[in-house]
Amino acid sequence: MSNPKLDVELILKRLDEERLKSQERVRKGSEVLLGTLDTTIASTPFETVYEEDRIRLKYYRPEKIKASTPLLVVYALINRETMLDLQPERSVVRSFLESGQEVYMIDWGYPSAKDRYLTIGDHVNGYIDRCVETVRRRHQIDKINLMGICMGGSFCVMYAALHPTKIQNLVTTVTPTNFDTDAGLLHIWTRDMDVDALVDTYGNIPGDIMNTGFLLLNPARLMIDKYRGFWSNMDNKAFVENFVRMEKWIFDSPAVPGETFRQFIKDCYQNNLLIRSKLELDGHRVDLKNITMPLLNIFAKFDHLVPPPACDQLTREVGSQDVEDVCLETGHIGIYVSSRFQKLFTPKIVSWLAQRELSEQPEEATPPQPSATKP
Amino acid sequence: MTEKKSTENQEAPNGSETFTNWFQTATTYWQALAQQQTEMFNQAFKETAAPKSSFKEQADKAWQTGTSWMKLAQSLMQPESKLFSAGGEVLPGMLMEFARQTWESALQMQQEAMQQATVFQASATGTAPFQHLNQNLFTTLRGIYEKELQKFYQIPQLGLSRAYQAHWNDFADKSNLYQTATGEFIHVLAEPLRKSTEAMQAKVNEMIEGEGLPEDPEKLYGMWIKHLEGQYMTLLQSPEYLKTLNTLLTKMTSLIQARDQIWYDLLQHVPVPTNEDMNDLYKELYLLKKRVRELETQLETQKQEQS
Repeated sequence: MSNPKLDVELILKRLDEERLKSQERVRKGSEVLLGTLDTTIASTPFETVYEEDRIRLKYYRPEKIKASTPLLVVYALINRETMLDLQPERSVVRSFLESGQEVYMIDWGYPSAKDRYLTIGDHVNGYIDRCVETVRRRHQIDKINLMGICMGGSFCVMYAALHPTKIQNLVTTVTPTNFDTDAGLLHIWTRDMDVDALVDTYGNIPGDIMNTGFLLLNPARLMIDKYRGFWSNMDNKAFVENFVRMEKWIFDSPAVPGETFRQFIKDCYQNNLLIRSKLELDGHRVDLKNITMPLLNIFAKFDHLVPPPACDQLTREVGSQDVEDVCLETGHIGIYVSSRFQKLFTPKIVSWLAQRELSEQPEEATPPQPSATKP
Repeated sequence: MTEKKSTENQEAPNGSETFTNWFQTATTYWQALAQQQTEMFNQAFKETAAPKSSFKEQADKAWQTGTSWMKLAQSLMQPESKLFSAGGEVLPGMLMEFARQTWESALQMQQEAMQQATVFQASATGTAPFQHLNQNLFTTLRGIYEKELQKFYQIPQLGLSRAYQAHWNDFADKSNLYQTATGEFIHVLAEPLRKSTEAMQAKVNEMIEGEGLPEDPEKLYGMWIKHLEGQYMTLLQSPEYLKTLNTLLTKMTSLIQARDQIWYDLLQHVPVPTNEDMNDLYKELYLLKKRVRELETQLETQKQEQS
């Protein structure tokens, strides 16, 4: 065996340099962690205009209203809608407000045991419909703009198909509609899952189980590399603040109502009924051909949760002729939290909606009328 | 030279005979001891020429009663006594059978471990596959448990509290199955870590032999994490992982159901509603609210039609 080319002196020198760097980093990092940190999330002011059971409808008013049609944003039941307002410099909500768009957002709250029997139909034809009615009543308009995120987008697709007369424009972002693909691990894992055993045992599916499942999607990056990155930058106050905000959001997982979970896994992941227009809610078939309003479908190329094959068939299946697919080169939440992609994302939506403002709507937007907050 | 007695044709003692012999020996010993104590006691009183006392008479009676019970017990253990012989034979027999099965299982597990050690040595020299052996260990463990030990938890229970006993046994059984499933799942998840570490070691050796280690250790870390990520991507889509994951989920839900049954049994005796009670209530509330909303909608529609 030849003598190994190992510069022991160099290795020892490097180790010593690393040791000194680490010591300095720990010292500064302690100052940062023990000092005052601003880790508030969802700090954009809003008004609660409607409440029912665990949900509330939040209204964000821009300084100057430019868009005549308000936008209702429906987030997923997994994690929280606060992701759209993580910090002031990277807030989708603020971006919309700065462009003069009024925003309503559904806060799904934290399901308790009594919510275990709520179905997808209860969410779509119940809560979402009543929120839409609230917005219509407040603005005295027939139709509103609807935007859905991830599972919330799936709900919006179902709603638009069942209540097309109430929706002016539909925007779906990282929205799974086709589940017959092996491009995503969730699709593979849920195929043979005994969802009945899970729901019958747990009732609502606990947030901890959801969190564990998402971490297992990429253990190397999400459980090792991420925290190594934190260790390397813990002396940087801004980095630590952003990191903690993201940690706060990512592990803030409400439980998912049991019957909704059962139906979503069985009807969507296992039987792929939505894209085939065979899904039924409350006895009514969700026919995608009923989606006749303009549709903007945004998805992410490197999305490991909702890969492009799960999103890109929707525009082919709806009845509308005014459809557009936009694929951004980022991951599942990169669209919302990356400052680079936010500069592409919200302006695109705002301009797309502006081009499709109804001509019969008044030129100057009408401020909303106060309405009762309880049903 | 004395001839050694041949023991070839003698039958090995069975469990009940051993138990009988032991019991006879024990009663004989205690009887003899009691006899000796009585004589000593009597002797002591005779020597002191103490007047007869009721205490002595009672003490004498107590000794006599004790020795009588021992004589009775000894007589019951005689082969011709049929009163307890049947039960006395069954209990030791069952205990012996349990001990035999446990011993055989332990021997089998030891053999597997020895085999694993042999193959580990072979793997170190690159002559045998390694990765599947640990998986077989879990399969073996599960097989041994399900074949040899699980049946003891499933013995039908008797008596007034039989339902509760059965629930506890079920919980213990499900707990054991869950432990095995968890162990297997963690083992499967740890496999990429082992593989990527081995690969990095080989890569580092290659670098040392070749162009040398990179100046920046971050590069080594980057290589390792990328390799690890790739290993996980392969594993997480594999049928092996899916099978292990689904097994774990199934065992977990079974355990929780068994545990909830225990809680349910306990809560029956305190004035606290159980999960099942609350679920029934939630269902009724949910249906009531839905009905009320439907009626509200119908009323609203009728009002609009009338106006």
